[in-house]
Amino acid sequence: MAGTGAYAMPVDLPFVAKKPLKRTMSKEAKAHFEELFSENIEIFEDSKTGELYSKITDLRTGKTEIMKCEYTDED
Amino acid sequence: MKTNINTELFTKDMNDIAQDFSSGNVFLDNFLKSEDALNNSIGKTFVWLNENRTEIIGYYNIGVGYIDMYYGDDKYKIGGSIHLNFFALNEKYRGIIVRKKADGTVIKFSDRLFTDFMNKVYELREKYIGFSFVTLAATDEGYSLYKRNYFDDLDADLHFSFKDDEKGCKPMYLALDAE
Repeated sequence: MAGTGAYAMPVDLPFVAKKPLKRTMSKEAKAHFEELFSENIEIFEDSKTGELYSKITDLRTGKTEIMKCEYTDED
Repeated sequence: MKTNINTELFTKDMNDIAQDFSSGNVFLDNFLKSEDALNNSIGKTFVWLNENRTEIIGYYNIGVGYIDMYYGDDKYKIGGSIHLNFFALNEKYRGIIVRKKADGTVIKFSDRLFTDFMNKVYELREKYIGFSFVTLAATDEGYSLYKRNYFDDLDADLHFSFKDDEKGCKPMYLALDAE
């Protein structure tokens, strides 16, 4: 409700949906996103071979890893 | 080619390179090529450009939505959402694995673009506007990407309305409040 305060409203309404209605993010999903947010991935091409490589940096430790990209049929 | 995931707001001066964008889904390509990609009434478009800014690697458009819950004969709004209106990756970059984790999990170009989207979601939620969910309507081709990123099919007692272009897609959602 968006009001001006001049209208008398019931005082016992919940501000948000009560517990049984609530949906939450799983611990696994939370950990998944935290991990994704903690990595920086840079993609570069070998100018001689045309092959793609990725450089993964863990933003928490500064550790880097280089991987040759692989291909699948999906997305 | 060299690129870091660094999306930016799509602007009029990017229209030329948008005309070359091809994801393999003509509808998604046409959206980016149209004036609708710049229409604030629809959403905000973010693009991932290559280093030379000559090519769009991918884009997404975000708007707002909500989720209702059926409770007996009644329907309640249980929370607002950020709605992923459009999401597409240049077909040249589809299926490319950029990271393989020790447990066998793979991260693809599409996951990186999606991670950027999720970063925007959290930034909006922390700084600007409160909401409980992320919603989207997945095509068959996009479904595995969203499943991989912990989105669920919409439960039978939940509901959100589709846009015209989303008919035939699968409604999915992610709750943002942690357990």
